[in-house]
Amino acid sequence: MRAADNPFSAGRIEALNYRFGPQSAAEAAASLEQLIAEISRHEYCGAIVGPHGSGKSTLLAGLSARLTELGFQVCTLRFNSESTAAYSTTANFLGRLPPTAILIIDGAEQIGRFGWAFLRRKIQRRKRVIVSAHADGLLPTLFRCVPAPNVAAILADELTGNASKELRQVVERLYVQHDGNIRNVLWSLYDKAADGDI
Amino acid sequence: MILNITPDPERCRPGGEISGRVNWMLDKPMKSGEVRLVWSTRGKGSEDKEIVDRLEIVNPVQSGEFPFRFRLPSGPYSFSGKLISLVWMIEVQIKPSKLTRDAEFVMSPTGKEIIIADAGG
Repeated sequence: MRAADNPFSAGRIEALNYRFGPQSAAEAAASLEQLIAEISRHEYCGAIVGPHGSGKSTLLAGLSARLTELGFQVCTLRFNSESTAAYSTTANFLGRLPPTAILIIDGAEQIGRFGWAFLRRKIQRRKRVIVSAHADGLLPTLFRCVPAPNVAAILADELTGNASKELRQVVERLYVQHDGNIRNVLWSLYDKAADGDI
Repeated sequence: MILNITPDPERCRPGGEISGRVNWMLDKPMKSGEVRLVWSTRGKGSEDKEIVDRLEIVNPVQSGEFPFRFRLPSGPYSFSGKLISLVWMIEVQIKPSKLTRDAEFVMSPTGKEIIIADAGG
């Protein structure tokens, strides 16, 4: 199978929108509107919390796109374990963005405990900061991403256009194997599709 | 929006050219539009994309057509393996809706996509 034709290629996975449960894309869009309403009640300040591969980055990407459509100025910073300037980059953006802009920080834990202590007061004064984190504590928790095997199955069905019993069984096995990390489940499905196993 | 390209295999070689025309019929008039010569990677890792050349659609209207012609560079060639593919395409984007359509074509010295075999043991 050509990599470009693999239903689990990176571009196709990134185009999926976050699922709040075993729901269709249209239902997910409606749930996103409800979450945005909830976030606005918290002055657009708080954290999206969840374990590895639970969809935090996907949800933040969906929030960023929808908030931009609604007319907000949105700036997104993404940090991972290889980021070396998370604190200085965040401090720089906090100082330069207008107060009406929403700053989204994906991977806020990379800022580090001491860096976050220095930035916390600025953030609490400024509001309009949404972060992702693996645990509670950085900012008030706005939403908790909870992975579920039926969500992984729905995403696989959508990507392949093939809601088969065999595919669902493969997804369930991979979900257990990867401890609920849906991202890793989808990557494993890529390999299986590339090898012709599904 | 319909994108028609005429990828003559003999001419879609490195250094050759690709031509075609875009036809569109929109619900609302466009403010601007662009036809782009693009390559993009697809597969398991992060996708890379490069806009190699672009043409602005002059006199944008609600319904119309626009011919294009691009000179092709020397590379990279179209290729595909298990983990990554590199595809060439003509991409059209209309504003303000940001409606986008694309049509792939193969660019290589042989006229066919280069296939990268598995390096399995």
